[in-house]
Amino acid sequence: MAKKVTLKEDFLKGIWKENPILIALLGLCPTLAVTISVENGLAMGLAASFVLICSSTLISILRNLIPKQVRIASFIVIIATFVTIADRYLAAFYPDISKNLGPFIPLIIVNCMILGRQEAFASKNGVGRSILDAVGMGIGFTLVLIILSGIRELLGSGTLLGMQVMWPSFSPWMVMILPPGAFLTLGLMIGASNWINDRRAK
Amino acid sequence: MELLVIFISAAIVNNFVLSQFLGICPFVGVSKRVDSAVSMGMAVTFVMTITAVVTWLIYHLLLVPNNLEILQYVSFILVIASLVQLVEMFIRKVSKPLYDALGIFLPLITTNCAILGLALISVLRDYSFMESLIYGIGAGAGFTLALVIMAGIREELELADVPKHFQGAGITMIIAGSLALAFMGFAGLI
Amino acid sequence: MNTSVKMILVLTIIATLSGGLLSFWDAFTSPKIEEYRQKEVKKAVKEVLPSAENYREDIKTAGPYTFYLGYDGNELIGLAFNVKGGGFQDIISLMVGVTPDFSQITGLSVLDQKETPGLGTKIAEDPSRKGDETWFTNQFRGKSPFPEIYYVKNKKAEADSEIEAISGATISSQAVINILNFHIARAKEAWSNPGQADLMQDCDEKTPDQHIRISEEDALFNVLPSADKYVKKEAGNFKFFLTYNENKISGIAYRSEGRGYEGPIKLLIGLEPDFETITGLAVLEYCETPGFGTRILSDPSRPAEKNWFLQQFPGKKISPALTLIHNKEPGLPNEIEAVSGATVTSQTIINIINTSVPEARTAFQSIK
Repeated sequence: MAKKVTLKEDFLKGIWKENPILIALLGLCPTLAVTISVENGLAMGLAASFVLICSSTLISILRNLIPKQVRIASFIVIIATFVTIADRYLAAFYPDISKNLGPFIPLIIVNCMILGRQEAFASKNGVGRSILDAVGMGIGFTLVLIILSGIRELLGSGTLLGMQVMWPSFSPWMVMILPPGAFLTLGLMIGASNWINDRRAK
Repeated sequence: MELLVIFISAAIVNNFVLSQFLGICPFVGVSKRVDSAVSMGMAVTFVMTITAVVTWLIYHLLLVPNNLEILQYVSFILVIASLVQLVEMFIRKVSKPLYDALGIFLPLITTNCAILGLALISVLRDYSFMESLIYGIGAGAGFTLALVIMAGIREELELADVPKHFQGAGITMIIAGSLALAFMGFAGLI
Repeated sequence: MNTSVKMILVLTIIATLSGGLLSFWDAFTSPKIEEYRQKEVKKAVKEVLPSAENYREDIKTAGPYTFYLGYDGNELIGLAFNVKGGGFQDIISLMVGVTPDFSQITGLSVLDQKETPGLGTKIAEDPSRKGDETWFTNQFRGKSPFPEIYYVKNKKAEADSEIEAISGATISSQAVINILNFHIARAKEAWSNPGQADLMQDCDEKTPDQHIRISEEDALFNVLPSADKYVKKEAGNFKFFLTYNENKISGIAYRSEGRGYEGPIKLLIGLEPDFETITGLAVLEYCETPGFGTRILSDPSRPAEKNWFLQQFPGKKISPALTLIHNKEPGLPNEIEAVSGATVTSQTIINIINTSVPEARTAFQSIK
């Protein structure tokens, strides 16, 4: 049945085919900045997903009530509100992570991925589909963050989630946890995902 | 002297794009040609400077005295969105060709993490009014610098043979990595 | 509905709901965030001030610095304060502890830093020295911050103000040293002379039994020998009281004040005409902490001579300066023993005398 397939697609597309980071190139700032450790990458992914899911849900519910001219402003206020909630929550209950992520949690507000999904999907579709879309995108976003931070933490600190994984005489590649390493790794990941997509298309 | 340090820090040593990871989206999107990079850089610098001033005023004169710091993000982003709207209308009146050249990227300055990031960091570091202003100008200069260098490189790259899967964002990231590595050499300057 | 009205209405509703939700969330999360912040500060303060029994804390502001006072019972044993400055990459924030006279650093803790991972970050934690990861900050204990701290490389630091820098991170090490050199001197200045704008109550806000006032006449009697007749003379900002013996000046007294722990302290200082030897000291106005600062006037721990502190002053010499010593009998003619549990007030009184005497002397020249 056509609707069922579409629902599954709504969910899955965010994870690979339209992955927000690797394919759509959205939300690159936090991706590069916080992926120094898996713990941070995971926290950022979950926070962004929380904001995305809540915003999409609310905006989808209100989509027929918000006049077209003020939709961007409305979206932004709603997104900013949820980001404030997430930020304060982290500061109160996970202060160390909050300190590590610094200004990048509030920067979720301008994460083009979130505003992009509202504009492209949530404001035009029903609540159910919007939620699926948001969850899929959130998972896709978080997965890339985890992989990227996994590579950087492993090679840059020799640890994963804070636990020593590499052999003791492994000399960490400092550059991985510094800006150049972030850019290079992401560049390679984008190239790799393009290659994989190419292979699958054949 | 303090102010000079802040300027150089934001523009070069802790370059907004290559070191602080702010403003990456337009960095990837608008850096294909040097002239549009310069225009974008200047528009962003302009918005950044005014943002630095206005958000400082709002935070210190309105939010803090009334214990409303929790409204920081909502108020900042609304200010930025309005400012960008004003700048857009201004550029459209003053120079239509420039307006057309920048296209969709002009309203996208709103979601440029560099602008909001600037306002947030200024509050985080408790900058004074002047420090905030200089920080805004320095950040804009740094952003423009990174953008123009990247555009220059990418223009040359059009003649080179980039592997198929890295064309576009992939190679841009890798170049950015090299640039970031180079800029790290500035550390210790101040 | 008219589009413009609808636009404004919708935006207003969304903004209001947002504001409401956030105020509620603010009330929910703010206490926790503040609690965490206090915990962090408390932890850092405890780390840099020598641990003591009955550890009690207090906070005083002077100038741009907020001092955390550490007590051992009633004895002020150290001051901790937060200082910041530029590091290699970003701002370094430190908590430093000093002895109340700022002569020694009691401890150092790195609160926040974003130095180069693996190099500059060693100022906070050095994983290459197992079991002694905080060796860099530990070495500051007991060091003297004056005239200034400096570093040596690749050898153990020996001298009082010497610090061993982290090899490969000399810039970060120097940054820490610069921050301390810059701020400790200024903090000492601020602590000794808290300005008018500081958050200290005025004596008038105290209850009458906490606010002690003595008339000038009564004080003069204690301060200048044979003060049955005195002449008032004004010069500069000073109002001098002079006593004469045959036609020569036998004693000079004047008022001076400074801010103590709780409020202003006004003194009447009596000197011999050479402005070198003190003839006596009296307190004109005073509202220090009952049980602590009030010991200056009446110390219950020495029942036979409750006002022993003030009694020390007759005969003491001003030059080069009055010095405060702790827990032992004064040996030199310019030494004064502090009152245990009222070291701040004791120090204030010494400071008032040391600062005002040279000024008074200069002003007095113009009379003669």
